[in-house]
Amino acid sequence: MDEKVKAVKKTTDGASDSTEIIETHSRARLDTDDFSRCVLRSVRDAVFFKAPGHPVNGAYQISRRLLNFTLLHRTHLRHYAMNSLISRLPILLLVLACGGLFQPAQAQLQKIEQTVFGMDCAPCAHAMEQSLGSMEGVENVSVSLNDGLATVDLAKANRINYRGVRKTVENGGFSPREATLKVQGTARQEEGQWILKTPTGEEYALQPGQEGTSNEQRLQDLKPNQQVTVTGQIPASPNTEGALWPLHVQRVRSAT
Amino acid sequence: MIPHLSTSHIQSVCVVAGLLWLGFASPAAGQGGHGPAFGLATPTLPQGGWNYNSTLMSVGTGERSLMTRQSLWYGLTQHLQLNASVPVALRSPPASPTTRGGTMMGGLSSLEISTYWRFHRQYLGVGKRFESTLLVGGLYPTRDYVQGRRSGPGVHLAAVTGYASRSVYAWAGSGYQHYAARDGDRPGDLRYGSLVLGWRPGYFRRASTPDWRLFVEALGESVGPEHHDGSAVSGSGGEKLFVGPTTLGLYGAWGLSAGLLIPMYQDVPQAQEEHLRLMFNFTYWF
Repeated sequence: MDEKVKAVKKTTDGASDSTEIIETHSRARLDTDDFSRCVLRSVRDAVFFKAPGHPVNGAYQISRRLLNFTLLHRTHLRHYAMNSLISRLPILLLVLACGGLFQPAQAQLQKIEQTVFGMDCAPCAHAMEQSLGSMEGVENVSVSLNDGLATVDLAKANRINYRGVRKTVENGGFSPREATLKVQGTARQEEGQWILKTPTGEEYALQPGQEGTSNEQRLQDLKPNQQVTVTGQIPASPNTEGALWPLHVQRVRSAT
Repeated sequence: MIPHLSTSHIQSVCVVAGLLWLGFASPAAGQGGHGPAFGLATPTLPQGGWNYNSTLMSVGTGERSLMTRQSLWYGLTQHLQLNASVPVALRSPPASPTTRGGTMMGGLSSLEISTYWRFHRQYLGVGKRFESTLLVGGLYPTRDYVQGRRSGPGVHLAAVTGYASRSVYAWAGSGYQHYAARDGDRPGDLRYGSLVLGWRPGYFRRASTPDWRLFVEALGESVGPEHHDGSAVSGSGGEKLFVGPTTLGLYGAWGLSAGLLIPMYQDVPQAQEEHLRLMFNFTYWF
């Protein structure tokens, strides 16, 4: 199968991201000289790659492909070493040092408002803030005792999954209940059911929200493999057999 | 003139200095207790969480005993806690009453290692829990329970059930403490029951104010006969009933509690009659 690999330039302007496809290569040519040029320039230009059907995070993908390339194609490397790689190595190292090797640059879970039952004391809330805040990728946490609500803002690049957040709440000795999530991922349809899959592989079964919010119409507007950001509610006692979280959609918007 | 400082004075100063030092130590994360000073409660601690308790206790018979107890708690899981506590006697009368300074704080003069298993829990709503805990502890006496008489190791078993919310608290529990005889000597077995009712005024439920709670605690104790040279000591043991107010303040990772118990009924030998039980406890959640 001759899949296409896109080199996508991603820029940030204030609060919004924009992407631009600047090159498309055949997957079969991943290891060719042309692609290596592309990769090298991409790193310099902070370009992210995305292979359709392979929702691997861009920056991670760049790094992995670069490493694979350097390991598997020493001949080509030698050819480009003087002209490209070594001259751009400092930039590459800088990108890797900034976490590009280990962290995705693409948001998935973006915000969680988790209702917690049973938390009655100030040290309980304090500990909850600390344990949630210690999760890698969490940018800000606030816990309201009176509302029994933990609000978690996540960094743009994170690998947090919702199951881990619920487990953290449970490990604190309390009960996670309903939650409102803002999550980005790739939509696909299976037997009439829309499923949102995040880059970490967590999946959400998108279900229409309450009447009057016209979500059903919005769900019908989804396209397979479309990148979307969904805001929705996880019910108080979700049935998570099969690792599929039910998400009652409140809002859907395209992420591309 | 240089004032004379006894060993007990120096020990007291060290304890106060230690508490002050802890008071100014760097803040850390934690989670916490919410309980009474004397009665049984259902403590909570997250998996992997630690907390430290420093307790100052005083039991008054003819003379007033004074002791501290340093306790370290660890959350093996969110439902299973381990606790180790070490007593340091600052002032010991010749015959202390057979009791536990605080039901959850260990025997008056024994090293204690305990396990707390929260075997039942229901999360009834925001801030609301109904739960039950079993306590199993091992005791090792560090000094004579009566001058010249020291027992062997002991065991403490207790069960407690309770309700906690943002405004109302209630716990009821009972326990049993037994020491093995050593050279035929051991104190009487202790059976006790505690009832705690608590309330948090609306002012202290605000996010901006410390979390202060007021409790009324009742503690009933029944002590079996002491054994000396393998025989029960006639007339030893008896029953006591205490009631008293306590308070608990929580802020961030810190907790302070204090309280007193007033004897309402005592049917014990005169030497074992008590005036007041006092307790001050400092807690820090790591």
